[in-house]
Amino acid sequence: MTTVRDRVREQPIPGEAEAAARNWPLVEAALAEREPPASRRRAPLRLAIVIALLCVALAIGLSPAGAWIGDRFDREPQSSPPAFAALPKGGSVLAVSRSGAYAISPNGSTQHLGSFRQAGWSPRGKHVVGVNGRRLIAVTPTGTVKWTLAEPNRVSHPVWSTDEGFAVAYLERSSLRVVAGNGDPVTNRRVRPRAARVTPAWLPHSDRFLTYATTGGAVATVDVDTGRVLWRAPMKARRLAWSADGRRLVALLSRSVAVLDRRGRVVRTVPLPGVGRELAVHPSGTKAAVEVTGGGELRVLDVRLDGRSAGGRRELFQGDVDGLAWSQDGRRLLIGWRGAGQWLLLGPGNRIRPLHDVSGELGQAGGFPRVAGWCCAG
Amino acid sequence: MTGDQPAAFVPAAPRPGLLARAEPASRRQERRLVREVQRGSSAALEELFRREWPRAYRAAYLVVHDAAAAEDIAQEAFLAAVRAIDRFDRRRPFGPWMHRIVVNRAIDVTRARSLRREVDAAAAETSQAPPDPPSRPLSDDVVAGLSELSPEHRAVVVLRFVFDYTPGEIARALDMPRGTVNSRLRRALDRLGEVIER
Repeated sequence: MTTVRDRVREQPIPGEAEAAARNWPLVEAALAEREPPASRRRAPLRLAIVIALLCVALAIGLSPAGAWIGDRFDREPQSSPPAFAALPKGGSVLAVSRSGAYAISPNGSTQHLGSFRQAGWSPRGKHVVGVNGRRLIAVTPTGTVKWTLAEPNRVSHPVWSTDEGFAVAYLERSSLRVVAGNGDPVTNRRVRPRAARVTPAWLPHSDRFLTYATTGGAVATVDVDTGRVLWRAPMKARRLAWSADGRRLVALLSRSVAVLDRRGRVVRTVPLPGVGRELAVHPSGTKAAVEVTGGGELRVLDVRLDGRSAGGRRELFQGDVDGLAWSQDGRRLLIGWRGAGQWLLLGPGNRIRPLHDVSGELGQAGGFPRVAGWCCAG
Repeated sequence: MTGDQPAAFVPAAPRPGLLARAEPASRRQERRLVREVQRGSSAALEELFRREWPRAYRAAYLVVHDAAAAEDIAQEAFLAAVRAIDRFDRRRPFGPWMHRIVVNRAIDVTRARSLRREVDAAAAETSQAPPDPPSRPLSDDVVAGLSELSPEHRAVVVLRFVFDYTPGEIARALDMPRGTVNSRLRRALDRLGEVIER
């Protein structure tokens, strides 16, 4: 009996130390991310501020200014690899922070694209379309401006069409507008009035049919060449996305996810255990990552949309999430974890790989970089 | 995961096992660490992590026999513990709460895999799909012996010999009669004994 006990306890287990090293930062970040009770939070904060002020006063009073500044630079961490170097090869991530949009390559390099509030990839990742005030701007991933379109009013929610990327849709105030992918102003036209502030979704394999949310509480698909509405479904959508094969439209509603066919008929409604905030449809169209808030918690759920397990939900992550994006092959989900200043890569088998200090990588002044898209990852 | 509350599985009394003799001091220390973690101490959390990770990972591995899955299970248990640490009652032991999450999750994972294998096998019969590559042979006799047992039997062995729980405590953790625990333990030990003596 003792032999079995000893063997069970002493049997070397492969990968234990490496797994501990990988997971400790994640566990530590979870502690930093949780909200401690207010009574516990204030006193240490005040104490920390007093200590910090004392340290600053001592540093200024006791050492030459140049030496103090030099020491501070000397202590910048040198050894840790860039956070973004952990991204898998094959595609680039688009991130938007207060300081604008960035293209992030899997080798860890970053490129500032412009002072965009919102941005999106062209279908093959060769361009990014962004908005800045009244301007719609297309740039290459190296930051070269290809074209600019100025409107009389503020523009928002840009989205490039699929396949060849012949068209870009966007909102100017509440008008739904479309311009050719080369930015030719002659092609710029208003397609529909009264569009809600939801990013429209192009029907895949088409530069003609665009689905959008109306201010009147409906989802409609419109032929952008004629302005004719093909169908309209009464529902107040917060996010819209077509499956990659164009067979299903997924609409995130307040407390459910609706799945519609190409004619706008609701084929399934999946209730959510809270208020839906964000949606990322898996490239297969069979499931979606949905961020919900409820009971004081933010969670990311894996919601089944198709097949025998339709309607099933599984919790993927709990935390203050800002931005979700699937890799193009559908093997990984990238989650922006604002509370911990990290991005998380959820891989096969729900393995989580954290990308630490992503704010620091892009400059702290910009704040947390929201995950806005992940293009063409293999 | 978040529904795992500490009150669900608590050892009833000091145990006569090896760990039990050292329990009062370690329990006091554990309570202190939990208190400090609740105040936000990263150092205290690191100490708890350093203490508990090896056993959590070992336990998960011995049930699922897969390093990646064991890592996921241990990670999930720790993240659940940290997220709920403010609600944790320090009068209760921290370890059993974690262990229960680990073992129950490991059983679920193993069952799900068995089901998937069955489905895959059924599909292979009809579709003539290429077979999966053979799994890596298990080199160690204990691991090999455990692999011949059901997930529930493995869990009993892990709870008894990795976490040092009494059969009564295991019965409560796995929500089964004490007699069933004893018989499963007996059968598992017989099987492991045979393998080790080979």
